[in-house]
Amino acid sequence: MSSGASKPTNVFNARFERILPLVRRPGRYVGGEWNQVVKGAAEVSVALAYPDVYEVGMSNLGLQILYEIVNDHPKYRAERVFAPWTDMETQARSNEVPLLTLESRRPVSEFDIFGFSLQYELTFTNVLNMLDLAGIPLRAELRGEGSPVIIAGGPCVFNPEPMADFIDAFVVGEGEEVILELLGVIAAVKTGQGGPGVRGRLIEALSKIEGVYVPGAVKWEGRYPLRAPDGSALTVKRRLVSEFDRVPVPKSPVVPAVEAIHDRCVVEIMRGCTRGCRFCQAGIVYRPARERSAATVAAAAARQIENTGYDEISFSSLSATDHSEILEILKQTRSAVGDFRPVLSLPSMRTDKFSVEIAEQIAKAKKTGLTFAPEAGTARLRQVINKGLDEEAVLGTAVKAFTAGWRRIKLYFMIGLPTETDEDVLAIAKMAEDVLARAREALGIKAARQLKVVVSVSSFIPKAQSAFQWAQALSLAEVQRRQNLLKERLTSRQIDFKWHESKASVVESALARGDRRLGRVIEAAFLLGARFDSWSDQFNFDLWQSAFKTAGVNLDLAATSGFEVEADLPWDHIDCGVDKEWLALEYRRALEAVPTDDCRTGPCSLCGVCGPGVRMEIVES
Amino acid sequence: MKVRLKYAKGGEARWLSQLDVARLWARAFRRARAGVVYTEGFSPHPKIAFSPALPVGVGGQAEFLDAVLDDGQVFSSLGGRLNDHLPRGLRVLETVQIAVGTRSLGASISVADYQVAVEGVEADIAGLTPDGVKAKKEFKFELLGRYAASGQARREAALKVRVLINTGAGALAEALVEAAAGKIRVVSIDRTALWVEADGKLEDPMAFGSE
Repeated sequence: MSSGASKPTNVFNARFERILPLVRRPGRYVGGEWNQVVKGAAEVSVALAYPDVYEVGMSNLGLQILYEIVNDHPKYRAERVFAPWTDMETQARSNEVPLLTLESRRPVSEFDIFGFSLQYELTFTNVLNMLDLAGIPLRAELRGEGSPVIIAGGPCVFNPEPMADFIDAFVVGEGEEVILELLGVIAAVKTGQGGPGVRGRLIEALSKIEGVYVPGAVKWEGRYPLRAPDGSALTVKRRLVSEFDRVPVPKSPVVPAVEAIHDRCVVEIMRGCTRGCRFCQAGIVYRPARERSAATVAAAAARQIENTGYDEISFSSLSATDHSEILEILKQTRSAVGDFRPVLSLPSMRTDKFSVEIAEQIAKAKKTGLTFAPEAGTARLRQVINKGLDEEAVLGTAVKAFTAGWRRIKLYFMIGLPTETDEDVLAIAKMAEDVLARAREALGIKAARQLKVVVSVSSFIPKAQSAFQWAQALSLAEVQRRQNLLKERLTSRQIDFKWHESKASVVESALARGDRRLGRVIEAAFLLGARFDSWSDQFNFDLWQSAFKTAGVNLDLAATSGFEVEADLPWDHIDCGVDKEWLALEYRRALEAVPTDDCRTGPCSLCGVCGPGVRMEIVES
Repeated sequence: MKVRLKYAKGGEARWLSQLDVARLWARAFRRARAGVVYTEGFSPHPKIAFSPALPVGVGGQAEFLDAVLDDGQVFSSLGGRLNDHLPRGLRVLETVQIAVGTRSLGASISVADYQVAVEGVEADIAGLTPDGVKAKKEFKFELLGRYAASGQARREAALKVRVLINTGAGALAEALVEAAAGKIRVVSIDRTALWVEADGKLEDPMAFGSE
């Protein structure tokens, strides 16, 4: 249902309408979409923000989930706001139009909470820009009674320190339960303890909620570990939802009018992962693995299809084919959606679990390219990273896929992994060539001429809360040297080589494992004009180099340095659920190329996450 | 079953492109379970065809689409069902069934009416005549009125114009500004009607319905 009154006739609205014809894709800023929720007065109002442009932000599942949870509650209201593109920013500033939400075109500064989803470090300057456009002081310590409480969640919050200067309260972990606790606390303080000083009381009350980290409450003395006000070591425990099968799936996601990156229903079939790939942060911070049953998924998918009219359903997880009922999910969904006949897609398939049966299920309506992620070119390096795939699994699967009708296969790799040599890098090329050779054997040379293998290579960036959090990262020069090695080797017309912008990766790396000093860098970059850094045509490396210099932080060291395993890390106060000692053990095993079993099928590796109230939730078939 | 719908594009939807609008319609048809037929082949798409595109920023008070639906559809409730499932800026105004061989909207529509809201200090809006506008376009217009907004010297007027379909809204706006020697600003444009030329007369596209 599309509900709500027409836009308020406030002075901002009139100015806003005058600048709409002057910008690209004005549809990004106008709202009015199907399933939008426009509520009247509420006890607590939240402006939910994704710090990128509308088309990207509307594809974010977390935002959809929180939007629906908040709006389903009779006392609360959530509206959306995204980063204005550069042309809109220019117009908004010169016409004095502050940052407005989509639903009611109200200034964000009038909301109780302004909440950001931090998915990616290269969106940080957009966060600052949105605060600035909303008329809110960038630094938390400078905010007065009139400012909303600035909250941030999402994966980047597992190392919150680089953004600590700008956020009033970080929320660590899964948001479904904690968001309502947050709003309840705010409602209570507003009614019971309103009046002068209420903002301080709000933030103090929030700090008592499990999973909430208020950086302003901690004295920053330039080093870690951080101490709580009483002197003890600070620990913030991440939030997790249990009984995942019973956690509601969004029923009526807002359907973007302007084409979004992903225009489809998204149903999460599983959270967490049991594989233990050592470069992966998500596989650690979302442990333990928790599945939804096929029946739940199918019903939720059918309801979304009816309420949106989309023609595609994506089953989201970290490793879809590991789900114990994956075939049932596909079959039951097909049956539940009846004559809607949507395309079904599985974005994260394990190469070794790909089967012809699954292929046929997802091929029924449309064939797009298939993507697999061997990540490393040699078996040895794959053991180091614990992505236990053998050569045959990759080649065999590719052939199965080509035989089943796919024409294009994309292979993801990283360069710069710990212990990597040139031999490992060149093996990437060999794997792509072997895929083609095998395809020619299976399909014949003539048929194989239509096939395409895309090799996509990005730079490995060590992330906080992963087994590789102590590892060094490659310098820019070394990354470029290794990319060139591959470029020179891949000459076949049937192999496309795509490599990620390495300069942006340098900045991402510095931010990912940075400490609070990075706040000055991010602010400097913003003031110099950095915006949309994750967009290759907007990213400006010179500007960032200036920002690091101005802030007195060495970019090369920040981007490449590793840590001693015994050192205090800037994110030690964030308890992701998994024992740090276990991560260190995994790191040592990595350096000796010793693999660790998948704990779903093999023995428990004692990572420390399971305990009272927290356990793996696998559907019994 | 083939149907022709007349609809309005306004509100937030005026800021969408034709491609966005086409996508919105496809989803609305699905939500309303209106049984739209899809093409076969590699990339199936719904059999919906539109009247000539409106650019971003231009509203439409009489836009059209033809759609092929399953024969089992109940025609009488179609407009209402679609309206229950359309986002705020789009609305079905009229529906007719049309014969399968009916000439497409794209091929048959040749004339368009626009309402152009302009403002211009010191501009002689009454002086905007067909002769004052580029000769190659067929122009016929009426000046609806000229009034001043209260408390401001700015003169505003709404101009009703009829042009050949090849003259897009953007070109129309440019021609009017040029005719006024640059002294007016176009505030908004809405397309108010589309016409099919038949036997020398202008017909409403909805007149081609069959029983």
